[in-house]
Amino acid sequence: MKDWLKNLLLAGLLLVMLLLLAVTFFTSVRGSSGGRRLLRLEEEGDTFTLPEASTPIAYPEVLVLVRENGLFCAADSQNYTQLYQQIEPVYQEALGSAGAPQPMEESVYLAFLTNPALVVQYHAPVPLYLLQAWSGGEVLRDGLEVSGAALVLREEKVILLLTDGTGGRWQAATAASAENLIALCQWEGESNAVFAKDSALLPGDQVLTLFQQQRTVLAVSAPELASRGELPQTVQAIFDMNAYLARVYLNADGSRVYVEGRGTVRLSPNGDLIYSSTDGSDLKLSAVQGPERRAEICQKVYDLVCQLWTGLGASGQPSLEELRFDGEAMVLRFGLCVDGVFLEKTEGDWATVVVEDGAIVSAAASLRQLEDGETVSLLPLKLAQGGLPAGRAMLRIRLLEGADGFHPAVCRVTED
Amino acid sequence: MEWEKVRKWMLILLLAVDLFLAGNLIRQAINWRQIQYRAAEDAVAVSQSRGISISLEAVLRMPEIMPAYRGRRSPQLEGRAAAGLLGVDTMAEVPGGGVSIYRTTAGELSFRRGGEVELQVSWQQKLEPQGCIRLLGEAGFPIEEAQADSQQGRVELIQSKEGYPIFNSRLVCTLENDQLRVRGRWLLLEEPAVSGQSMSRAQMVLAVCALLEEQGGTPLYGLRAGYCLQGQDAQNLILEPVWEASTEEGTLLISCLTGKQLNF
Repeated sequence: MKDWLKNLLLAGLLLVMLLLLAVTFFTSVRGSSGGRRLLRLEEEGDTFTLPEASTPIAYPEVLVLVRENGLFCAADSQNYTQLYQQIEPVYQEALGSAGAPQPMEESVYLAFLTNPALVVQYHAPVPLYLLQAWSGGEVLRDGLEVSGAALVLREEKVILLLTDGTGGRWQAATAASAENLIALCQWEGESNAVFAKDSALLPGDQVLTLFQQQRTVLAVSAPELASRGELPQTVQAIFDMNAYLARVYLNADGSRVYVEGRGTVRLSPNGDLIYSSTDGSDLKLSAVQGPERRAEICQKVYDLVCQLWTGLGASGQPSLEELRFDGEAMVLRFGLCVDGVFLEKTEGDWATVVVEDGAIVSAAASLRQLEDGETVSLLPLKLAQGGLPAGRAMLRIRLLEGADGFHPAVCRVTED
Repeated sequence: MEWEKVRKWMLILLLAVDLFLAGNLIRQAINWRQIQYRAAEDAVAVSQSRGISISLEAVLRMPEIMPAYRGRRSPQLEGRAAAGLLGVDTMAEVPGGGVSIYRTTAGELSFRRGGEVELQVSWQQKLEPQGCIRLLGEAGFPIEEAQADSQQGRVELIQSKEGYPIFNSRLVCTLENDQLRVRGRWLLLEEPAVSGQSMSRAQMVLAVCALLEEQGGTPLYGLRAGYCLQGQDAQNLILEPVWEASTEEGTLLISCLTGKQLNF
């Protein structure tokens, strides 16, 4: 064989060896995230994550479809979850594409609530610009707080009807798909509610259920990590604290205090958490101003609150209750709901976060684990309403804190 | 002569090393397949013990891992589609909420969140699958893997990705008064990026078992792998790998990322 052939063969075998070595090495690090990061194949924390998206930070308390065969109200956990998933696209499309709201008469508003329509009512008024921010709105409209919204069809166009915090009614044109709204209102299910205006009890769009609802009592306990006094690294990272540098102190009452830099986190065995810092935990905001900045702050704070809940294994879904300004500080208060039913504490809030200069300077949260207990039957709201003196008192089903947990009850939310 | 000897031994050595490495890789591949097979077998056995009968053959036909994809909607692609379908370049109206509307005298095209598409355009031809595919393909819709079904005066196009159907990604074409109407959902992204991997086949079997248990142990008739197109918000899209389980109660779509049922 000629020399050059042998040399060629030698070179070829050498290349094959290098190739096989490379394949062996890469297959051996396939299952190792550390190895992949070493090879820059993967950025740290590159597991499946959603792209940066705007998500709702307040959940409706009442979800109703107005259909040809009557109202359908999401009156149990499964229906609430399924219906919320179905309404979200068309609802957010309408909110995001809504034009400037115009005032409207109460009588016109009530007349518009006919098939097909979607009605959403919130636990507490939510700024319209927040609703629009998480719906991809191009223009965020300040100045209106929304306690309820409805999508109705007029002349083949979807109109957004809004109810503000004082009961005033507004309407806005949208570019939402009429066919999607019509398809949504073909939801199957027995008609189980009426509007107050259709029940001859009192005027208004309050939703009155027609049948007994079965709800469970929720037993309360501290999250396991909190009861052991463990604050996971992921939770410390939420507040920009380095778990390896944090010092831990044990208080006489059993709570643990984590101190790192100028930040402290106090975690009680019952699940109460308090954070404070002189520097603040930077939210890394963009350069926008106005309602866009406030919307961004709310979104980032909400994401952190949800991470806190998940990180400590707490139950329930945080939902924005109030956004107010205290001098230069922005105070966000969160409630807690389980499948649309809100839990009312006897004292204190579920979570409060204070933001100053784009950083979280203090936060307090009551983290609890909730477990299903016995099931109770609740009076239909139509019957309950009938038992009240004449007036416009609003009734909602909520979970009230008691000695042994949270009990479902028909609550009078407003006076006449 | 010395070099001749050295080269001879180097050749022998390299050949031996190459054979060893190749053999090692083949052995690893065989081991890996055996581990996957055993995991699937064990998962099926666990399901059986819980009263849920899942065919091992059906499970082994499913892919071991499926990638998830994500991406942002592309105004350029949408504009190009509008120009192709409506005949002229036109600016989009963007009222917000993820809605983009293109209007000309020829018709109207709108793109919405979650990949939704609505088209109304003048159409003088017969309604045929090939005609619809050609129209949409020339407008830039990824139509190469689409399956077409024609029945009762309508044409339905179903999108696929790498041979797997996108279960909720379909366009329904109808013809009324010389107006072609196309409605539905279609993945229209430049190049969706891979964004994570699904759960393993064995984990999915256990997820399917848990779901069927919740439904009272309803019998399972078949399994199919595919995708579901979802919009996370007005602009972001996710192509989520799913298993379609055909049961007595109907068809279930189970996410390969979370193991939970998707409602569509």
